Order: sequence, then structure tokens, then C-alpha cells
Amino acid sequence: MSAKASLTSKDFSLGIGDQSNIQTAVDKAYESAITNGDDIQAALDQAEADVNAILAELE
Amino acid sequence: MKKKLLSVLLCASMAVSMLAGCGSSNETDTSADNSSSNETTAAGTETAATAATDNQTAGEPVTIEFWTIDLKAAFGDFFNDMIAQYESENPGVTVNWTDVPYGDIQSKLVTAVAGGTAPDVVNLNTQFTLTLAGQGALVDLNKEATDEQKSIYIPDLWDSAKIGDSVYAFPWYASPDIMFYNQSLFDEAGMEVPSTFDEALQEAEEFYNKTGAYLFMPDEFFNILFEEGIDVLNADKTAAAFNTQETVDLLSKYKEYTEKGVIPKTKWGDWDEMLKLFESGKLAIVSSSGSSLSRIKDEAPDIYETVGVSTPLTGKNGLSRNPLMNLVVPQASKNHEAAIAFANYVTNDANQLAFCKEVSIFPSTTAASEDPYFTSDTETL
Repeated sequence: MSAKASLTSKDFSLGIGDQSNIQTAVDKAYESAITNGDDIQAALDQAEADVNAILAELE
Repeated sequence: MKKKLLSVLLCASMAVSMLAGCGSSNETDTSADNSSSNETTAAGTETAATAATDNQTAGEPVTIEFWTIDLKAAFGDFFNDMIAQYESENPGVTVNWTDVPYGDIQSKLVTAVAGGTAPDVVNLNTQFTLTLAGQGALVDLNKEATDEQKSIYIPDLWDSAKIGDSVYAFPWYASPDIMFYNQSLFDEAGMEVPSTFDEALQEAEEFYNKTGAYLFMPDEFFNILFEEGIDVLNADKTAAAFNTQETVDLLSKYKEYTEKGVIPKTKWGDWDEMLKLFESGKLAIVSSSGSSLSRIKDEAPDIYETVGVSTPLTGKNGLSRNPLMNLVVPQASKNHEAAIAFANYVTNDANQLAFCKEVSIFPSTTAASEDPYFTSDTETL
């Protein structure tokens, strides 16, 4: 087996303590735009607002 | 060669399952729930953490409390031998090894730290590492480890537990995503296996029309942003940065293909759903940790016979997912220097290579990754 994959891969980390909630907020944009068929820009705007609210609580 | 590789991967997959079970998005979700429930309790550990002092002075005996996750049953002899070797090379140092079930590690650690009985070296996943680090409960290894100790790790993996200029873990074993593909479907389509998400999207419609199967299932959207090199946050991590025209264009492209029905519309990145589709011949590519292979063999032996392996699909940044297990040193440890030395020993090149030969898992150090044990067996992965 080759460990080449270990040299071309990464544990996707934001480097902050509340990544799980941010991840959930970002994934909601996909659910809204793709699964529910909503407007893409509106879905991203909502996700952005949700992420910023989480970050504000961290400060 | 393919069957030999599958056999090796199957052994690795069973070991990975026992070791970490950290390859699927479902399990990541579970971990997120756990970390959330522990945050309040962990915050109460700061008094104990800041009160800790380094009790190790020259010549005094030191006892290191070492906690791992689900290793003793399968690898007890390996770790007992490694610990005995360390103790023989470091007179006066005693290592007490405690193995904790995966589901209990977070609550037990929080309880121990709050009760003033913190272990010295602990095995954690990256999410919980960062949660505790954000509360000041872990030693900053960028400050307290030596340059020599820090120099051995693959840079991208070293950065996984980084907050600002601080790094809170030595990366240990990894279970990077691997691509499993259904060769029969590609033969039926008369098409080659793609290597990037762009190629996969361009070929998805033709593949679906020729086979009736999806070529691939997109990853979780959060992971897609990483894979495409789109920043989720700004540089100082104070605001979202992903709401750009590039992201709109990316989602628009995916939406076009989901509306055509040639890639799945729901459950992106859902490990269980991916495997169900793959095992029924309705999905040609799965990118997952090696633990998926044993399930495919058990649940869909006919499909297993057609499986080929390759590197996972990548986006613009060329990186794929590599969930990590780490070793951390709690601030509340009374033996920082000795704990760091032991954690570095467990994760050094020689011991990672030895561990990989024991269980066929992936190392997080540069030299171990470049060892002929990994590079000479196959050019596929």
C-alpha cells in the first residue's frame, strides 16, 4: 500500500473551536439550493449570515 | 495486482474500523454532537489547567498517564512492547496506559481534567482537539515542543490542530480517503475513470446515459469548498468568506447536473447512502476511508469482485480528506516536558512505521510516508 494519499490529503480544519456548527451552517446552503431548489445566491446569503453569527458568539 | 491490493486494503480497513472509525461524514456528525455537549463542562476545567505545573525535575521519577482509544484489544502487545522500550530508554519514567472506548473518551477526559486527575498524553480526533484548545485546556506544542520534535510531521497534517500560531496536537494515524470504483460500469460505458471533480462533472451525463448509474456522488458542500480551494472564512477567521461569485458558479454547475438527474440531488457526502448506491450498481465511484471495503465485500460480493482502487477525485487545490487521530497534552498535566517527549516518541517515524506494519494504517510523518514499505508495493495509490 502506498502512503501517497497521506501526502496529498488534509484533515479539513478551520482552525477554530466551533467548526461543527459552521460546517452545518455551510451545508444548509447546499440543502436549500440543490435539494430544495431555492435561489443559490439567497441560500449563500443565509449561510453567510448564520456563519457570521456563530463567529460573533466565539469572540 | 488489483486483488493483492484489495486484500491489503481489506486488512487495513478492518484495522481502521477498530482504530478510529473516523472516515465517514456520519461519524463526523456524531462527533460534532458530542463535542457540543461537552463544551460547557470543558470550560470548567480552566482553573485546573492553569494551576498545572511541571513536576519533572532532574532525577525525579515521572509517571505518564497515557490514554488511547480502542487499541488495547487488538494491539495490546504492540503498545506494551513500545512502552517497555520507552521506559528502558528513559530510566525513572513510568507509563501507565489506559485504553478508553471511542464513545467515552470525551466525557472521561472532561471529567478527569475537572477532577484534577488529567492524563498526560491523550488520543483525540481533530474536532475535539480544537474544541478543548479553544478553551485553553491543551498545551501549545508550537511553544513547548522542540524544533526537532515538531519537524517530523507532514506539514498539512501538522497544521490540522492549529489555531493562530498555536498547534495543539501531534498528528498520529490517518485514514485518508481512497477511491473505489466499479470497473464493470466503466467497461460498459467505455470510459476512463476521472481524476478530478471537473472531469467527473463533464462526464457524468454521458456515463449516466450509457449505464443508468451515477458516475459519482458529490461530497458534503463544506468539504467541496475545501477541495475547490474556496476559503470558508477570512484570514483572521472573523467572518465568512465563501459567499463569492466563484461559489455561486460552482453551485450552479452542480445544480445543472442534479436537475438533469445525472448526479444525486440529496444526501451529498452521506457515507451510508453512497455505499448503498455503490453496492447496488447505481453508483460508479465512492471516495471513502478503507473501512468501506469490508462492508462492500460483506454486503455486495459481486460488486466487490469488480472494485478497482485509485486516488480520490480532487478539486482545484488537489487535496482530499484525511481524518486524523492525534496525541495531545492537557494543560493540567503536571509533566509537560515528559508528556511531550513521550507523545513525540509514540508518533515518531520509527514507531509510526512499526504501527503501520502492524495494522496497515497511514502515517503522519514525512519519513515514514516515504518509506519503501509504502512506495514499493503499488503505484496505484
